[in-house]
Amino acid sequence: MSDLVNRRPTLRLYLAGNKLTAAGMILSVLLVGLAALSPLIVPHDPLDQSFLSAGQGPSGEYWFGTDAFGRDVFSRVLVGSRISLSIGICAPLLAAATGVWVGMVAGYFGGWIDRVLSRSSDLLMSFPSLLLGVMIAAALGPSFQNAVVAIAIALFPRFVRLARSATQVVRREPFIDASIAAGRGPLTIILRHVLPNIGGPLVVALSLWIATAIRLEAALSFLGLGAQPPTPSWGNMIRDGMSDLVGDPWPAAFAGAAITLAVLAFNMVGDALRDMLDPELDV
Amino acid sequence: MSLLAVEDLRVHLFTRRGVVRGVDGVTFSVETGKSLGIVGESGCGKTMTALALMRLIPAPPARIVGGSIRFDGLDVVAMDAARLRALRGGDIAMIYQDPMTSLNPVFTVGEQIAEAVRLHRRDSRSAAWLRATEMLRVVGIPDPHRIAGAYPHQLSGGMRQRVVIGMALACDPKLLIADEPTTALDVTIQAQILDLLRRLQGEFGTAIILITHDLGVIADLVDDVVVMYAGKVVEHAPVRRLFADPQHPYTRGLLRSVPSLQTREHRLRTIEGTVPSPFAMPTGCSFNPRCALVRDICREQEPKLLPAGDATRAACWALI
Repeated sequence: MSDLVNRRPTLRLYLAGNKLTAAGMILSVLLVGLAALSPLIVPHDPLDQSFLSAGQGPSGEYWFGTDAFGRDVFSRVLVGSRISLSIGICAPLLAAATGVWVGMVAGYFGGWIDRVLSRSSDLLMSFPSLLLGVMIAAALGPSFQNAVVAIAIALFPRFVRLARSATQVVRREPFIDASIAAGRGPLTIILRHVLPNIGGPLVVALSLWIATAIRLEAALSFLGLGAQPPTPSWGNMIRDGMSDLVGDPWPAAFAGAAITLAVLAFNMVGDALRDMLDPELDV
Repeated sequence: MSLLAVEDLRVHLFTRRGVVRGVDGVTFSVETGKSLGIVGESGCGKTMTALALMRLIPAPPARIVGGSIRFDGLDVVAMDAARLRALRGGDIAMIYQDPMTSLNPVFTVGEQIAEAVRLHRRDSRSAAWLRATEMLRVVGIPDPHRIAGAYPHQLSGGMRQRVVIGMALACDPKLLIADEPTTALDVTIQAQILDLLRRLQGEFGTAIILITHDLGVIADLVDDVVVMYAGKVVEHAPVRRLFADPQHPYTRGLLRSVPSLQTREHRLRTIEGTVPSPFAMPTGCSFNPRCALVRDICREQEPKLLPAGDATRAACWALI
């Protein structure tokens, strides 16, 4: 009661008490920042091939070594993060922007609306997401947009389900009845009263599925359905590295490490956001 | 013309086990600025009646199958969705039982009142906010400007119920329906909230329908009382008459089961038996299995609500 005005902990205060989430947030911001600036800061042209420098281990000149074509792995990991992260972030956002609406409408109205919407999205869910992604990417042809769409469709039913079940819980809260009694229409209630109350779990899921999307994108690229050579992405770097994993493991190893790091970072951010968005959670 | 006139209202619930007559021919009216108490046990249909007044009954399974509700001359049963939304919160406001859950946890109480205001009036944001803090002051919240920025979980139950009342009255409704407004609160806070409702009724001239199972709550807040049993009105009387000279055996039983400080009795009197199952209602008077005055006719025919003494109407064969 004494401190009503400053009721939410500020980001800085919050992070001071949570070293691990602070690390996760710093890491994610760093990754996204590096991806954005990568063309300016790479020490070598990521596409520049040189027979002389092929297959080298890490050195002062080539920090992460070189691949079979003599390209600098460090530069390629940096530039490759642009594709991996932007698909990894755009696809779940697209899936959330569509799936959350469908889920909220299904959960709020129930009845036959719910049955139609959730059964159709369950239909998508019945395919393993990687298989679905591969099918869609193969059907649409490999490109950046198609990879985003393919991954978004794979994630879409998950957002529908989550938003639907969260909405069903909120729907039973008396303040929703009170809202109807106060004369609000269904659209206003969904937008103003349901969405803010299910935001917490959605944001957590979003960041977790950003991690999933990064892995999916890597898998698609690995199968040759994502970014096309010579454009580097973490997935196709691993694929290229696979051909000589014993002789020159560095491209695959560092691209794999980058994927691990990004997945870890976004998972940590998700937990941090959940704690901060819950007004009733005392930090 | 009455502000609200309910005539032979019937709400049935269509469940898998059969049709339940939740509200079975209820008639009453409320005059502008007056207050009515609806009393009865759990499941007697009092909440269903109140919800039906704003067409808030959960449909399915419930449906208004008969009767009329006229508010301010308008037919509520036939209203379209847009007019209904204007009615809800604008002309008729509702206060729910539990203030802990009837506020949205993610918005400050000021934002919530301001939003309710903007829903029914074309106020600017700042005007609505001003109205919100004004309402908080009216309902007796100290330092309303600061509390307006508080989230519901930061306030006590009594404070939240004050907020809920302030929000309900923010659009100057003509009728306020309070469904067990004090049941979830401590006894001391209950008295404060009832005082507040009484004071606001005087200030705003709002008609009130107070739904409760607690006769003590209605005693000095309402003008008239409707006693419901198994979906029907069994007695309708001015509050003083009801306490001084209850007519229906059920009302007498209810009043006898209120503990008294004056008389020394070792055991609290109760009404024998239980409310009949909604799927197996007795024929005739629904109260006949529990009634001490039961006669043959009570098991055969349903009694009508007829005048029984000054200004009282009761549905009982023993009174005819």
